[in-house]
Amino acid sequence: MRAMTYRGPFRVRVEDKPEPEIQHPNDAIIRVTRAAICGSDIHLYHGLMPDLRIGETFGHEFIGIVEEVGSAVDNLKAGDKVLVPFNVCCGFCYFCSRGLSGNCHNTNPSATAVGGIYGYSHTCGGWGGGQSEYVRVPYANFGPEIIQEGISDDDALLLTDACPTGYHAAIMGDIKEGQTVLIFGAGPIGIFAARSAWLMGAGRVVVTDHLDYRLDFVSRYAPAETVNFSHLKDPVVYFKKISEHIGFDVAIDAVGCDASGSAMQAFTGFGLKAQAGNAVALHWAVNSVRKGGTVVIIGAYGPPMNLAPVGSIFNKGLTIHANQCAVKRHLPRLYEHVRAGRIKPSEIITHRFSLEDIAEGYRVFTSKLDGCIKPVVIPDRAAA
Amino acid sequence: MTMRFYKEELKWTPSDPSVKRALGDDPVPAPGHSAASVPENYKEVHGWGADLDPANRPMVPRELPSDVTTVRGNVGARQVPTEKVHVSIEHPDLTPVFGNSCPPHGLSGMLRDYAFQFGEASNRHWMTLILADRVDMVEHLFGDALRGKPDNYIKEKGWPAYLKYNPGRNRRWLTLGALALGAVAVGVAVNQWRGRDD
Repeated sequence: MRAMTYRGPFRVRVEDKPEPEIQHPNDAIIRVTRAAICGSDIHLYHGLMPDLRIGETFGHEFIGIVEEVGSAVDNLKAGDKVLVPFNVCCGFCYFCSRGLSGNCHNTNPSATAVGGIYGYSHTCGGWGGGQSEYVRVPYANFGPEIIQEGISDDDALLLTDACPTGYHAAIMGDIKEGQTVLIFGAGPIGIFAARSAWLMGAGRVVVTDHLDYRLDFVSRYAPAETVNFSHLKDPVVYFKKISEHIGFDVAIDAVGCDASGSAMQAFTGFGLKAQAGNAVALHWAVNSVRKGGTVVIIGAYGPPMNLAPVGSIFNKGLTIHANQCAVKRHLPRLYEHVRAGRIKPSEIITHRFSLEDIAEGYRVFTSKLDGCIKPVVIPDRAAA
Repeated sequence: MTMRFYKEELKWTPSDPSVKRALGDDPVPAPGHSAASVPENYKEVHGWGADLDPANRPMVPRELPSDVTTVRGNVGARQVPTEKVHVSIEHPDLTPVFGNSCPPHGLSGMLRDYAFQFGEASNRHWMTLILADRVDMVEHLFGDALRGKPDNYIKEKGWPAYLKYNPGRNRRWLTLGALALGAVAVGVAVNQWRGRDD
């Protein structure tokens, strides 16, 4: 099969690889019809994730057609069109049984701190990803869902990660009626978090980024107030001033370890490798939120340590909420929102690439060319 | 009211007084601050408050009740490993299923073997894995070249996208770069020609 393969930081290519096989009675093989490049794939593309081996195939956002199922799979059959949540999850371990399918303990031998994720390094289980023609999906009785009527393929694709993750961020903010919400990052997760904050009853939603085209998009899509922090000498001081010097009730870090905005953080993270990337968004979130407020971490960080203002978290009495999104738990409510037109996931798709051109797709996305917000990848076999 | 600018806003040109203010009169919004798309009454935003009631919010409560008391639960069938799989020493055993898209090999594999002797709280674990990743890259660089599949840096880095998707700006830089290189080449050639005459 044709599959994207990682060649080292900032380099990917498409190669022929063996097709995946059933290795467990509860496996399914999915023929991918659409995959997306996620903002967190960029952390991999930049080589920031430990145990990211040459030859790995990325892609944790994908939908497709069931090609084959194992002997124990009884709720899917060949030919079913399914969306596959990015969490590889069993449904019966200590954590899955409590609804924490983003923290499954049975699908990632390499680490206990993180559950399995498709195409997201061996630190997340060594699973093959969806930027390929076929994917092995374990525990197929629990993970994948048949795409429901009224949900388009593009909407379904965005419901595998980006949309539920942004929605999850807003839920983790415990937003109460009329509260103020500040979101760092106007990428897909920040965009969906801003849209979702209104559904939770927020009274004010501000999104900050350094890219005008993304701020312009979120200002219309969410809608939201937008602030380009590159215009400010000290963004935190400005956020305090526009929140009557109290600070925001909720701050959401939708950037993660690949942030821009601090030379010191960039030098220690990307240059010295003394921390896992650049954590300036988290730093600003902690400092911009009010005392007693809530900080949500939804942007991806790797396992090693980061520089974060722990003293301010303590002195301000902050609540930190963070977790990988348990997509399965959000889907029923999100289907309702999509059908009611309250969230339109597919509207953030700006680019489509053939799988064969995926290196260009990564370049367009990572270098922010051509107003790119969300690129979709389509294998030639699916397009034919 | 007299306009009052804060120092960080004066880094840039102050905004036009006619620009709609985001938050009343004070402070003046920074040049990069816009609230043009947000309705005056936030409750007019489509879908506002649909999940205001926590009962409508998935993952409230965050954890559901469960009778499962063991970390793995009722596992049943297990996937059989056919190649080496690294297992965190914080796991009780190999997980019932696992991916192994790129089994360990060579010197990088030995480094990974070493890294997995340490727990996930250990810097030696993660830093050794990062080192192994870079060694892996060098191993493949030479190994694939020897197998007749050398790296194509221009294509793999996706550089043609600069020309396809941002042609105006990048063609200008490429043209300037080509002119500069041409000028240098002409200069070197003229210099050598003069030297030969001497």
